[in-house]
Amino acid sequence: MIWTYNKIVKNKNQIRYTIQNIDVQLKKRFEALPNIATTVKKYLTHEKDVHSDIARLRSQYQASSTREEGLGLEQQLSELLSTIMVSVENYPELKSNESVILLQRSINEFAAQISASQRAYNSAVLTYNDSISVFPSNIVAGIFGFKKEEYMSIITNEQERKNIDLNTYL
Amino acid sequence: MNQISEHFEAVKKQASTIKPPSKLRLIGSSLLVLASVLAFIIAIVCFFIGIIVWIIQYDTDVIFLIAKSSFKGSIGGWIFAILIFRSYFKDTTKFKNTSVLRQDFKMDILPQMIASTYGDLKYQFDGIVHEDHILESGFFPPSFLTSLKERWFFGDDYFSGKIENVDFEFCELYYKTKGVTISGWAIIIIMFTISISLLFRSDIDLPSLGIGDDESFFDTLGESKQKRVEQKTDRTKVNQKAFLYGTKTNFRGFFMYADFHKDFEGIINIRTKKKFGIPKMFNVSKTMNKIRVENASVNKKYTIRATNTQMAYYVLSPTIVEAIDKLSTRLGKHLSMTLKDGKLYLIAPMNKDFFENVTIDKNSISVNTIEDIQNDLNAIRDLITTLNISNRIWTKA
Repeated sequence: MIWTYNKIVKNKNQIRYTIQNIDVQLKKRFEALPNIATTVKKYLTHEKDVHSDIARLRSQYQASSTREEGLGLEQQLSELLSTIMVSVENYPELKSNESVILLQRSINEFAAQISASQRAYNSAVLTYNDSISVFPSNIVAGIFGFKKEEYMSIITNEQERKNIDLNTYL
Repeated sequence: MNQISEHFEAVKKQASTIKPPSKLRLIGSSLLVLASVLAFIIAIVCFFIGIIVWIIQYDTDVIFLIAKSSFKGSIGGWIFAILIFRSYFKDTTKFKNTSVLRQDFKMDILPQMIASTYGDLKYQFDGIVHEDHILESGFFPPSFLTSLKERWFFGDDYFSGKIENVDFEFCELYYKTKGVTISGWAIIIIMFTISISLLFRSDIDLPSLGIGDDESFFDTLGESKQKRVEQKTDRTKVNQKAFLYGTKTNFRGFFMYADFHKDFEGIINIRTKKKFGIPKMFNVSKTMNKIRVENASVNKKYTIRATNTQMAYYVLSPTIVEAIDKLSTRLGKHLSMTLKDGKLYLIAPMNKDFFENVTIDKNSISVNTIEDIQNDLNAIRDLITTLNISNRIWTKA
């Protein structure tokens, strides 16, 4: 019984750890926004709306209080960044620009890291939910009131990132 | 292309003249063994009957004559059977090592085919991936028993260079060990236990072992050393099995070392759940975090462990996981991988030899076509493109 209880607690702690990871990744992404904004302002002068949208999203993220809110803003940011990439496609001279290439890399990197932390979270939830559902550990889970955790929907999928193919620029 | 076609035609012609050793010899010697066993049984039975008849004081001459003749026949039968068996297996080994214009193929034809497929790619027919990479892969951790043995790697058909902008090294790999086998150790332990138990029996006089006799000790050492120098080990033989002591091929297959398209620090071990060879060989460290990916088929076939969960999910994107599944379907469930500090190490045991103009089975010789060799060559590109490691859309420059 002690062993089962400890195992469930360890699995629950793993969920907490992965949540912290998501927060770290989100924070990193929004902290990098000023650099993205600078690049956009400098090279994509025609895309004034994009620049103001980035600034708006950043301030909204700083004001957000819940993780769900942060993730919602992250989704909006992903869509916005995809728009930037499409804009780059329209300006062939930008394709070879080093700052723009770095911008694209950062966008891909952040998206991949956030997706990875969300997948790690879902895996931790699966392990935890399994550990409190199967017999006989479900009895211990019932006694101590462990409840099932919700899965997270992955915001940035592989397909989105695949569209940004830097290979042609390198 | 003409020269290549001509070569394959010549191989076909020459191979058609090579025949596997007749199985009649095997059948004949097996029948001889059966007859010898029967004769031996008759000899034993007659011997005991003879003793009984002798006790009741009847004439035993005929019975002992039958026993004696049967025994002699049995011994003769065994000797003949062993001789026939030996000659059959000698010819079979010779047949298995048959090569048809192999040197021309490896030195001239294959390099031409490689050049036309991949352009500038380094090929060495007797080369091997750098041993440091093989050891870094962690596929061959030395167990307690293997650490007591001499162990080495032998390579064949080594390729290196760039395909689709990916730096890689590829070769057919053999992992061999020489020393006392598990059965050998079991015998040693049994013998040791018996010797110890006999030592404590005061009523038995053990002969002197001669330990301490320096002169005879050094003489023996010198002689055995001399023998060791004379007995050159053929390190290239494949599929060897040792019973008590000897050289054993623990792994035979291909090994690939490539630059991975993502930059990361840490280790991810993707190991087949299917056991083969030394079970210890492909095992993963249980101190690492276990990773479950979103692909039931991959989870079923592989044990994935990583030094860092976040990094593992970053590296093992759904596309990579899907590619692993595809590769394992194509190359077999024994395929295993290590991803370490931005590098990919891939291994798959195989029973067939790649890049050979003839394939020798137990009882047949088949000539490979240009297309077969081309397929072998395409398999290397296939590994890289399936894993999509050429698509550097991430942080790695």
